[in-house]
Amino acid sequence: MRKYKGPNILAVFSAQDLLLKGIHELKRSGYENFLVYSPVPHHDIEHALHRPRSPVRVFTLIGGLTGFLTGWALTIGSAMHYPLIVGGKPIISIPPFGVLAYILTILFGALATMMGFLLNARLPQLRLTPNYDERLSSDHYGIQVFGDEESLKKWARVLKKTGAIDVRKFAPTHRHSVNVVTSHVLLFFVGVFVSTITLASCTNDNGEIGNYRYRTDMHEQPSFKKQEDPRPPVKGTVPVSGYELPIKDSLTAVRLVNPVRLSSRNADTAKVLYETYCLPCHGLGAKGDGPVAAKFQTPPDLTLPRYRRAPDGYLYYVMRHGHLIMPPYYEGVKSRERWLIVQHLRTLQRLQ
Amino acid sequence: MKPLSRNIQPSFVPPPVELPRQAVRVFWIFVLLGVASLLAGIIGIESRRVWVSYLTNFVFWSGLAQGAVILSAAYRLTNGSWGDTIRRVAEGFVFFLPLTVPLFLLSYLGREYLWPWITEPIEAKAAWLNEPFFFARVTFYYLLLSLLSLRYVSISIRPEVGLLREKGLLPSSSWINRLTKNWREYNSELETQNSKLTKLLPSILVTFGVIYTFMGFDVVMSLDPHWYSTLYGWLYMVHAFDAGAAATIIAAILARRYFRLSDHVSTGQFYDVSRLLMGLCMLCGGFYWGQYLTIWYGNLGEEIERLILRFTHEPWPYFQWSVIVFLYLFPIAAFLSRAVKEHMRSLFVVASIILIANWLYQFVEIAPSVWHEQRIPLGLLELGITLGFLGTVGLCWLAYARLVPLASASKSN
Amino acid sequence: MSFNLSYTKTDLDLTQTLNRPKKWYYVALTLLGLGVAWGAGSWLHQILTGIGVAGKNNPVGWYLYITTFVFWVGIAHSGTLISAILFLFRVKWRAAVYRSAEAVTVFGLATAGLFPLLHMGRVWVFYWTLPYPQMGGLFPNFRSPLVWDVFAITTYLTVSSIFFLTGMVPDVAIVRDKAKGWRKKLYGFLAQGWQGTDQQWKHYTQAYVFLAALATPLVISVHSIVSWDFAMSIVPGWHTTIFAPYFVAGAIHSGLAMVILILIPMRNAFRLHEYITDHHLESLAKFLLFTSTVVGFAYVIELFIAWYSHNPWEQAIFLYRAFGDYWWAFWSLFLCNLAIPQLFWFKRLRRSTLALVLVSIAVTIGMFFERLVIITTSLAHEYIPFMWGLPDLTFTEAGIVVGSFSWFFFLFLIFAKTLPVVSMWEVKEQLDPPISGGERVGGRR
Repeated sequence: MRKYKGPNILAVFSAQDLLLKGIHELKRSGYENFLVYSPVPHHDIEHALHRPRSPVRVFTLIGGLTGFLTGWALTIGSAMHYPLIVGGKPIISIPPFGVLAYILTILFGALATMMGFLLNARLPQLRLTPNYDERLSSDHYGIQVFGDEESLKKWARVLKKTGAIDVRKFAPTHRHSVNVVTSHVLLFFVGVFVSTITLASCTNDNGEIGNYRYRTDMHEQPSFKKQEDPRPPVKGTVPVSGYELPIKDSLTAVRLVNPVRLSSRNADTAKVLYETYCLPCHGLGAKGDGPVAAKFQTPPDLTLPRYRRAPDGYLYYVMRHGHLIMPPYYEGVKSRERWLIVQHLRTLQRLQ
Repeated sequence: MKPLSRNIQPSFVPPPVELPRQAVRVFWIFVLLGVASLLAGIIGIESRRVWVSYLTNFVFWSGLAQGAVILSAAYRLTNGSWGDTIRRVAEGFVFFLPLTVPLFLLSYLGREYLWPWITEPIEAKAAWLNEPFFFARVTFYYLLLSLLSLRYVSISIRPEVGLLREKGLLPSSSWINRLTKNWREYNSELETQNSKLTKLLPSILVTFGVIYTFMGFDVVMSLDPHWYSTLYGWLYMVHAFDAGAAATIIAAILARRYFRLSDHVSTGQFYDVSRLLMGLCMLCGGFYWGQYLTIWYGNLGEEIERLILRFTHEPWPYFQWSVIVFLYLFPIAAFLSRAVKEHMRSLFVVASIILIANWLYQFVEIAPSVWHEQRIPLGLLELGITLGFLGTVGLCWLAYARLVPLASASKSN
Repeated sequence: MSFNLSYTKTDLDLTQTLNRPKKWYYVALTLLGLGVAWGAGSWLHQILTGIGVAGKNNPVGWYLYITTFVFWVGIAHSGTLISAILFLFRVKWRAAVYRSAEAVTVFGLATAGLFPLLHMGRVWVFYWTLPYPQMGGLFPNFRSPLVWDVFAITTYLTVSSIFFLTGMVPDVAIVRDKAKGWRKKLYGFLAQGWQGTDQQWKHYTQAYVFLAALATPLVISVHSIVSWDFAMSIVPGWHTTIFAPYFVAGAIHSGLAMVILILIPMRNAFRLHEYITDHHLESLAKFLLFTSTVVGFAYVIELFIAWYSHNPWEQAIFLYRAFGDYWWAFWSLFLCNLAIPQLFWFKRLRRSTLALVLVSIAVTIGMFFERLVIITTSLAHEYIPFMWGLPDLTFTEAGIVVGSFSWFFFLFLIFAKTLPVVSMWEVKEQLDPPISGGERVGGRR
């Protein structure tokens, strides 16, 4: 006899103690082919039924192990397939790969648990049991007994006597078809899947579907080849933030007038700027004794008379364009900041 | 902390009139062995070995005892009701805690072998790492925690002990008399206990958290005075907690067997505490992993040094990997099975393995920093010191078990 | 839970939340919809123009987007904490609040998951983050924390959605059995044919335990991995070992605040005072106090070690945080995350709805600032002074941040009216079952 299938009756109870009595009646005579409906799981019901333990845990375990192995296989396999050293780490970097193995263990474990639950609980079901009672999910209990005509009659009598408020027979005409939507949704996903596959099989390696190019990889641009200079901007292009024109030559430069005056407010800024950008070579007092200079090349002592006499514009010009091995500073240090540094230099020279 | 149903007095299994004599004798022999080994170190035989082992054991056993008491406090704070026997067994380690103060002060004798910044002070860190401040604050750590723990446990066991005394089922001892001074009646005692604990529990847990973090930084991390890791303190804390849980399980299994409590203590309690132990092992592993990965990835010279020493320089990798396998991975595999958690013999084996691995953790954290020779600092001397601590902790626990009921008498009896 | 509840009353009260909404509901929905539209418009603008309109530039390439991303991932954490960890610890008060907390998780992730996409220069090739062999058989770099992030967030979204939907199945069946017409079909689909037989319950309860057992280590790992996006680098202020547990604690902290902020108005709107009692809120407040202490202590440890380490870069970055350009955010995060929640040491404040709301708002702001400070200051002041600089807040970026908040609450509002916000079957599980012999109802088991 198939379990939980075929002709059946459903006895509805309004109280849990009566339900338990009914279960005991069935159990006492060794009858096992019945299901119990309850709104919540309850320890007493489980205890009375004494059914074997759920096998869902096996699904979890197998899923978890599969995920664990998949994690290692995916990471190690792909690293060996295309050996490329990134960030100075070994090709097979166990510590970071472990993170992925861990995550996939959980992902696969959870998916397998879900599947184990659905398979074992026979869900989703397209139709509810024909004589399902809508009070069962809320505050009533039910015992559904399966079997041949004769035993059903007997059990209907027994359960009625133990206190069932209602015993329903299997009625083939009465059908709930609550769950037809499921099949529509399934169909939808199948459709999506099929069309994805179809689309994917139409694409080629250049990222084209037919004539339509959907992928824009940087290295596939029509313009420039490897090792080639990037395309220069259109003539006359200026950055939105404005652009500082180069100074023609030192003769133009010496005529420039320092637009900033040192005040108590910006003196500190000037000092910080000097000490951030200039001190490494020129030293704290601009004597050319910075910590970098000691190991590299000594710049001139800027407190010498000839630098005192040099106009502001000249010092500015050197910072703007560089001089000998001193690199130009026009990218990192803004124009106004350069003028401030000039002022600070003057302060240092005066202190001399 | 809801009181049990009113006006019902539970009955407890009285503690054994006499302790198993053999156990006491063996523990005393252990203590003597420990003292002998320590004396050998003090008079100059293999001093460095002795002190390395002394610090390892001190850190391990004091963390274990404190962790067990904290397990009990956490159980109460979360309104646990799954294992009162486990809770009482855990509280039993409290008698060892007052001893941690003199035992720590004893390490003053070996300071020059242990903390390198004592012999070669680091100027930049002198504000924190200097001898007087160090010993003063670490002593204060142990003192404060042992006082708090003693106070907590005495509040925690008072109703049970008092009830038994009322019924005349306890031997008279001055300690019990003091504990149950002004005894009233069981249920009103429970209420007083509740109101006292609401304040005490959070404060003992916060104190434990803060102090054990800084203890990790001070006592162990400063063995490598240039190395630092922000997680180190928490790592130290969770390992102590883990050791406490494992030791509690072992003590509870032994008590259940030798004090004949099998009828009163269900295996369900062991199931739950094993799950907790598994969680703690995973937490320890996770923290260790978090620290390892950050340092491995950053690959900064000043940090990675410590890992290189432990993972590549013989003989340390053997110990380091044993810790990783037996403390972090093995428990997950072993505790997957429900049967392991409910069968006393298998649980005993698993918990012992975890506890030994936890000892090895402290060993591999401490020894490589201090011990720079090729041979492994493990031998008879170390065994003597370890047994000495084991004996002391064992005797302390037995002293408690003599006075306090461990289990509620089950209804069938 | 109140003492005079029964199975019948529980179902009636809790399915009532699905009745036809009032006018304010539509007003709120419209306002939030406008916010979402603003965000979507900003995104469209950014896609069409380029990532520059969001002010993305050196040196602070990670600014509000990543801050908001971490914020929402953090918000997501409390849901799994309440539903999975407290389930494993058999904490009773979780039953009434976990459904909403889980919704916070799922919607928080649905919001956070957008941010990696939002931060992409060419979002139309988002699938390059997926693990499949790309150009010449090259996979994504599995050594990169950002790839771990993709895995972690996807897994978390999957597992928490499974957990959320699985937990809902018996409840949806109740709604199905009470509903009529098209609603019966909708809920019939969601319930997947659940009937509550003992076989179904047997597999269900075991699956639920295992999902909880899997979700617990997952939730801890997800925010650890988010923290490793930062900690794996050697940027001062980011490269620190405590980051993983500290981020997890912070995530739960902010998540709890958000759960409280959502539960209280919901309780008032749906009149759920019998189900979500003051005791439940107090338990949440205690939890918030706990996480606040842990997070605050982590701040202190970081500062202490920066001082103890004597590492000039560590020290410089902490000084910069405290006294540099973002000093206001730094000090307010201390105030909001550490100081203000300490008020919950007082029982009277834990039981006051107003105090709960105010403290939770403070924590939410504080945790946003925390991420802002961590992410921005370290990038703005890395090793070389030449590279120091501050980010600019642009209109587009602000629009997207506002849009993300609207999106989250928008989803939550829809949830509140379409699905049962309190788990009926788990509330009922804690009541006495109906027994014969009259109308004896209720009481705790």
